Amino acid sequence: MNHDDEEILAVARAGFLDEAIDMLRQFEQALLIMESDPRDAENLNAAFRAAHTIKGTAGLFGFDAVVHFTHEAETLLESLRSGQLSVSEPVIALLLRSRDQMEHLLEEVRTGESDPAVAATSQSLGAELRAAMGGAEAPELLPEALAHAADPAMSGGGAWHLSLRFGSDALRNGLDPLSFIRYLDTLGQVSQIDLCSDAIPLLDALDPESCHIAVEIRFESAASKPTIEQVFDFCADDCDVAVLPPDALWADRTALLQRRADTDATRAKLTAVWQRMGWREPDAPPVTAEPDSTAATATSSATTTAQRERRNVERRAAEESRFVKVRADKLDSLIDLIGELVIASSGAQLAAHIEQSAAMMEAAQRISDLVEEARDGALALRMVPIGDTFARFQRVVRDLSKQLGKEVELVVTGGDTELDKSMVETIADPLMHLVRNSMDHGIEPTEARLAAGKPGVGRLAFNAYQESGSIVIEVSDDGKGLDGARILAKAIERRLVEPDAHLSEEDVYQLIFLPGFSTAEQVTNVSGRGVGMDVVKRNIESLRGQIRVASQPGRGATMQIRLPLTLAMIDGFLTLVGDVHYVLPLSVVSECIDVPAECQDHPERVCGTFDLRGEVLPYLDLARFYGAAPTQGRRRSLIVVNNGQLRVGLVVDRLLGEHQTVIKPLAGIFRHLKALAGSTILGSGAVALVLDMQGVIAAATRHHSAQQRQGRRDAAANPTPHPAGA
Amino acid sequence: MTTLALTGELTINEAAAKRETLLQWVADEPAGTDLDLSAIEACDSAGVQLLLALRRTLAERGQGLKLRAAPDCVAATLATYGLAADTFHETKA
Repeated sequence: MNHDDEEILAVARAGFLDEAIDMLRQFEQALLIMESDPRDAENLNAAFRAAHTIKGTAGLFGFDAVVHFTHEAETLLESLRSGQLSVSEPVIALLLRSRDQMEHLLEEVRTGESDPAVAATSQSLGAELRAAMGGAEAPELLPEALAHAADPAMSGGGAWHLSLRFGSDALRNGLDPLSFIRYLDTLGQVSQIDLCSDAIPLLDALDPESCHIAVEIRFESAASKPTIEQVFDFCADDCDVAVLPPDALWADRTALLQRRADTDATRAKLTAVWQRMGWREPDAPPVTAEPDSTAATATSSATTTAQRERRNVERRAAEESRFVKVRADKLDSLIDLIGELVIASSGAQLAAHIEQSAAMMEAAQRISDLVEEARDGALALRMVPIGDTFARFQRVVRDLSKQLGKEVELVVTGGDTELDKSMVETIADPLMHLVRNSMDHGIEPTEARLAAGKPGVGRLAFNAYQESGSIVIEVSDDGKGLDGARILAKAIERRLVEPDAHLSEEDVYQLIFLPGFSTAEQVTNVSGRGVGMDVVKRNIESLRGQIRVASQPGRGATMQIRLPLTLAMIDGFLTLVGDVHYVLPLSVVSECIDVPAECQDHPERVCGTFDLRGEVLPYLDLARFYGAAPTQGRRRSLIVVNNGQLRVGLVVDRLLGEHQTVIKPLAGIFRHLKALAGSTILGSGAVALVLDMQGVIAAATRHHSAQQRQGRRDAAANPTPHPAGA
Repeated sequence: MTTLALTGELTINEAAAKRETLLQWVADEPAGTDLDLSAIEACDSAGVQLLLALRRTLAERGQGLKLRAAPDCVAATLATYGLAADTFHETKA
């Protein structure tokens, strides 16, 4: 195989894995719906289709372990579909575990390593799946259904059955069937073999160099199916191999019969051979068999089975042609390019402005508008609805509620809120911690809930929405809420806060995000080791987001995560402070006013409060805050910003207006600078700094409260307090 | 001559030549049913095919093929396929 082929294969394999993971998600979702509504045929079909797709595509790539195991799950689903087996909780639980096993097998494909433990699980879970089918053999079952059910007595009585059809070129290619059959002896014992002499023509019609060997073998072995099939890997192109395990279903055997013999006479002969090998046929052998079900029992030589699967894949591809799969790094480089375009376009605008050419200014403006659209379009490509992430938690909540013995339902709203793909990936982990935490510590056991007059079934809710340039994700529960007093006591005990600290309710709740904090009286394996919540906070802050907690004792708690809309580009608002440009997200700007008189009275102050139409708001003087000398003698401005929770004023020297901003990360040496999210390049080539709104607002309010305390101390020392300090 | 003594190999290498020999013998000797294999040096699947084809051809005219003095190499190959030289003429049910 040359290098190109390998590359193509690698790409195709990555595509397969992506698709398979998607399919697993659909599979899981369908199962969870079936669990709550056992009669939901649509989801049963969806689960079946997903399993079938995984099996079919894995078959194309020759991932036999995946094919074999998925086939077992598919067979069980098939018997659910045909009504032989009814949907029940143990069956769904088994299928969910099978889903996990498929994921493990796919992971092995991804890494290229194979773990004997995973293979063992495949075996044992496969046996459980078959046993579940065997459970269908209840007395009330119809006789024809019996034929489908597993019955080891019907099979070769504990022996494998191998049906080999060598291709006509096998001998010419130097592959003698003898060597393969003899090799089988290393894995077990060939207890019976039948060379189908009918396949060999009369002497005058015989091409003596063509291979006409067809054998049926009864094989006693403890080896696994893949191991046995591997014997024939070497001659895969020249041999059609079917391996039936000792406990193969009668349906599989009938399917094999259909494949091996196309007339009644040949079927009768083959059946006779099989009977000599110890097969007992059920009274009413089903003549028809699901053609696809043979796909997994036989690794066929590039023949009909593979073609059929390929057709399925093609058909599916046609259905999915509405979507194009794109490599994430291609998208990223497109977005980078558009970032450069944004900068270049503002450079063009600036040049046009300097030239004072009306025509050029108009052209530059037009380009700028188009670039803005292109930017929004490119960013939208990266946006994915958060609903997919939420949906994954259905399973988590189900498993946890079983584990904890609590009944909890998950309610999801706002699933179509879109979020940058990279953020969706990063946010899944923190969400997981929050869910575990809520379910373990928040929601009480059923008895306690009933005693408290709440419904027995706990309620966990996910909600997402957009608000003033950020995405808000809320995880709330209707459990017992956070115990502020206990959190504070614990924090003091662990010396995380000073014993005499005065903290607001919200500040107390924030203590749970400190490293090494856990109030769980009992450490469970669900949560409560005191690791996690600090990681949650760190993860969220790494996305320039923040997390807040609201709680009502006895009523429940809500964790609110607030994330910026995007990490790459924003509509910015450009300002000048001293001779440095600062950009803030346009979405947070609510109004611009002249600097109020109370700020002008104390030009030396970094911050304070001002009166906005009767409302007292904190303000921050950016010039003082960043240690620059404010421009003297010029009319300065105050920008009122609103981050969805708080409003503060920012005093700047000049307002330069709207500016498309490509956020570039700050180099390491600038990291220590306060409240900066990054930098950007202006059309002129100058660098502007992008303000981190959370940081700025925190600074304004912190300084403000510090000054209030200062003010109180001043007031105690001095009978005439500062008017602005109060 | 009801017995044909084969020499050389019953393998893919000589399969075409052996087929010619056998066809000739079947045509020339209507009573020929016995093969003397004592001089055979090697046997593979192609050889087994030849023997089976011959057996089938003889069966068409109501005769059974007898394999005489099969050496170990032939016996072993036949055994792998669940066949035996001394019962070779007995076609299965």
